[in-house]
Amino acid sequence: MNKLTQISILIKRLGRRTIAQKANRLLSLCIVVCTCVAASLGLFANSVQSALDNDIANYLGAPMVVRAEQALPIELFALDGIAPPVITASFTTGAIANNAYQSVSLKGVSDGYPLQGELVVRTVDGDAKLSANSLAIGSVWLDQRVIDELKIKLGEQIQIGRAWLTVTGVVVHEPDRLTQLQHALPRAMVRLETLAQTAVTSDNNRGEHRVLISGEKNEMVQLESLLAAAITYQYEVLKPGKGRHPFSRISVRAERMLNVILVLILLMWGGAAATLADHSVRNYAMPATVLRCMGVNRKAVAWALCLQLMLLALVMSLLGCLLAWLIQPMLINVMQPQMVLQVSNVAWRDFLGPIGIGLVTVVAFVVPKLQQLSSISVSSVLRGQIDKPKRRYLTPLCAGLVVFAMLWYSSDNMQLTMMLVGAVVFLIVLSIGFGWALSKASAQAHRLFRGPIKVAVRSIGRSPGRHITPLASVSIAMMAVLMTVTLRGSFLDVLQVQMLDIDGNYVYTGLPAQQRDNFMLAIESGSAELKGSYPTVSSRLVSINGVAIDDALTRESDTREETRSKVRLSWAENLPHNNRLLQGNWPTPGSKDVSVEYEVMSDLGLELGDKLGFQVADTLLTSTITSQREYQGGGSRMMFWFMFSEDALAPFEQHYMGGIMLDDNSQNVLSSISRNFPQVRIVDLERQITGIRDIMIVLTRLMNTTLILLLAGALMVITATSFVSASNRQRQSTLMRVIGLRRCQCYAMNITEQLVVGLVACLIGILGVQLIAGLMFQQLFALSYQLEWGSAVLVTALICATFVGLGWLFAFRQLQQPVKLS
Amino acid sequence: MKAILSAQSIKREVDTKSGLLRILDDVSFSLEAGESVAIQGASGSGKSTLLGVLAGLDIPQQGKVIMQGRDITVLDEDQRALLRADNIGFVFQSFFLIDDLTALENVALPLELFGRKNALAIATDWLTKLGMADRIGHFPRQLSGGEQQRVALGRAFAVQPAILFADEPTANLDTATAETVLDQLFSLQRELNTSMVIATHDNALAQRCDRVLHMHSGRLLAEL
Repeated sequence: MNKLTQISILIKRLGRRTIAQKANRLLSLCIVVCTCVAASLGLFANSVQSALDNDIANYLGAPMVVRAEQALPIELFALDGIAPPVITASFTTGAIANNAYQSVSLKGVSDGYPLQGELVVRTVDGDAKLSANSLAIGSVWLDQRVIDELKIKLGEQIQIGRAWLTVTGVVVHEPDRLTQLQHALPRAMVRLETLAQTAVTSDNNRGEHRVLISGEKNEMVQLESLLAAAITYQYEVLKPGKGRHPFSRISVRAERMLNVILVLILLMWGGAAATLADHSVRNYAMPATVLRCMGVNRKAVAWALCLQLMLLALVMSLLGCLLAWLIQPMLINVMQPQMVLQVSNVAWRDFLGPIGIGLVTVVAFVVPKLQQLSSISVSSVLRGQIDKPKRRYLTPLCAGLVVFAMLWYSSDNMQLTMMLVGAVVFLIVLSIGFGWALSKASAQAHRLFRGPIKVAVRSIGRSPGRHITPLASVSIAMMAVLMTVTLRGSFLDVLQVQMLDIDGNYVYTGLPAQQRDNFMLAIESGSAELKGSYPTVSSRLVSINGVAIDDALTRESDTREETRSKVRLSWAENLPHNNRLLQGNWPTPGSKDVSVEYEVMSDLGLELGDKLGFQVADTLLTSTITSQREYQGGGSRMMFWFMFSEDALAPFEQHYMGGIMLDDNSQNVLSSISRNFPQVRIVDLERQITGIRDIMIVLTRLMNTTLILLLAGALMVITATSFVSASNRQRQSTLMRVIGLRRCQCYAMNITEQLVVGLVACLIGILGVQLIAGLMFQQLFALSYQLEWGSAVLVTALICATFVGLGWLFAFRQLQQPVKLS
Repeated sequence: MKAILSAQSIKREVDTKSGLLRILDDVSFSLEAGESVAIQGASGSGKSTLLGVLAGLDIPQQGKVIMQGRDITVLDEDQRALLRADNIGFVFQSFFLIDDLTALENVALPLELFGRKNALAIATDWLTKLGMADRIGHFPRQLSGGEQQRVALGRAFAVQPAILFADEPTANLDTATAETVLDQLFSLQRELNTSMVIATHDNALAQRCDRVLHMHSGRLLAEL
């Protein structure tokens, strides 16, 4: 009989036994949960990512925006698959009416504006969501503040530049206002044709030109390449995950976080599967031996079992995917009403990954173990002793490579993959070390105990190898949970600092230094609250190491438009609280040293010691970079790329900017400020902040959901690993009951063993996360890492409680079994 | 002489797919202090079940088991466990030593379960008495079958039980080793005046006991 026939017969005959084995049932459950969570997270992340991108696109006014200081060649955007682009152009100018003057940011918009997001305008008919198509040529929509200052009504005329325009609406909400903070003046919105009539574009007035684009993803990517090749001047592309806008980092970090969690989940389950496989080897040893005695080829036995389990994995993976599809509406419901998600259109391709996870988990972690069956000595099994199977290094090595390839594929990020592989190898080494130490320690410590506790402690010490896989998988689970908790905390903290209840709900800029005291008095007398005040000096970066900026920067480098136009310089005696020094020293008093934000350093290719030339009014200020720092806020918080000591900027004209917190009862302060401080610009960010809050709530829920799924996975891992330990104890527990073990002693024995393993695994997890997470956070998320000990204690308590609970459950089940003499 | 262990009209049934199966049918039994009784019978005749019921591992549906004046059928599981730890020793066909414990620790275990002090010293004495002094630090898998059974004897006698139950104690041993183990078993039984119930197929072993009982289809037949 050839080997294939033998294998097929064995699969048929051993099938029932395979399914009936508890370890295999647990393995099946593991695979179902694993694929279900992976598929759910994948589908859910797709839905959230697309909704988040949609929300962010709402704040950008379009899925993709190209901005520049000069008009962009519109003909470049005429591509198949790209919708007709919308153009906007913003200029600073003044509006005149009733002998009053108000600075405004005049924005010309073309038909179709906005492509995404809501433009809400109040007309004589009330508030309505409108597009630029409703804005007639020769008419203008204004911010309420302009209407108040100029004391005009709807239907009246104002002069902007050379044109007289009829006011037909009040801009209540403009979607992309938040990304145009540099134009912090109140808005006047006109059609592009009207903008030309005003002639504000012709008098050397620098403005911001934007092209709003929507279309097919691939075509938009193609367009980006086309623009890079065709445009020779500075421009910037803004997308949900790209460009300098408040949400770009959020989007990228959320995506990376999900990737990290998915990969960690995979490794956790791998560990659990390997533990169960170890158990299976023992269970299969006797039938495999008997079959070999009957003349069945040793490899045929091993392969029959492997193929059976792979078939089982395939079926269970499909079941997990089905389950994931069924629970999608429930997960999506969690996000309501802040984010309207659609159940993704599921393609069979979406499930290939999760099914692959199920199969690879079995192939990588279970098959190598089962292959060891063929190396077990028949005579030793027949003597009732199952020796340790001979170690085979080639199969685990191949399995390791498969897992590595899969991690690479799933994370789509080499740096992330390398870090995680390093982290896991480190944890495994740590687990081996701890397993060995645990063995040595328990070999001595068991003397301190008596009876069942002694047996429990001794058992751990006698079989350290048996505990290494559970230790590794539980410690990876612990690390995953801790990292997610900490990451969630850090991530939300970063988002939290963007909330304007820290910086106020209005932002002011352009306050002359000599008016600062009066301004503060005016704010305080109006029951408003000043939230931060930052000194600024307006300048332009003109040279790097003595080379003119245009020559120093190549077109290929991802330089910023802002750094090459006007930049605000600021100073502080010490490092501001929301900054972190990454390298070098803070500028010393009296020096002309400068501290530069690290992303700007990277974008401009700067290094410590480089000399930057700033044109401040008529003076050239040359400064040496002495430090780089990370700004740990974002969005609407004040951030300065270049910071000096106070003395360096003292000779120049200084202005202040900051936040103001105004409640509904102190809105009259705004009118007072407009009257008394005409050069101060005030921006209302309340509405935009509501949007940020909604996104934050959504992200918080996303992370909470992920955490719950991760905890469910960790629970599964703990159950699987504990099961093996408890199953090994079943025989000796029965024997000890025969010779007088009481119920409480049985509980104590099981709980002690589980608790010791749980505690050690948690210790390894905490050590691992302490040593690895700092690097990972910095490299992947640009976040500083500090372990939350409260969370660590809580997670440890949770895991230990789970172990204790399982120990209790296993003891309970052991006690349910009848005690037999044979 | 007063019986140290007696069973009166025991019935034990189990529910099977084909209906109720009576394993013990109106079995009455009595064991006096220091007496050894062999129970013989075919496989499935109910020998092991009877041993389990007599040792308090199992509860009969009907009848009483009186051990040292106490009806163990009315005790709860923990009380029966305490009774076993204090009064009963077991020897099994497959030795059933705990793999993770050394020979010494295996013998000391029942003493520790009962909270006895100097458990290790007592266990050492017993192993020395059984000729296993040089093997006390060995784990079960490092011992031969005969050695494992001698450790099992040490574990059974270490608590100086009033009654010892043995289920086919020599079935897994060769003749010579079995003979040695039995010599030690009966020698210790006499020395400690332990009552003993042995379930066995081995006629030679049965003949060394004071009485031999036969079981057939759950019934205890007349004494031979």
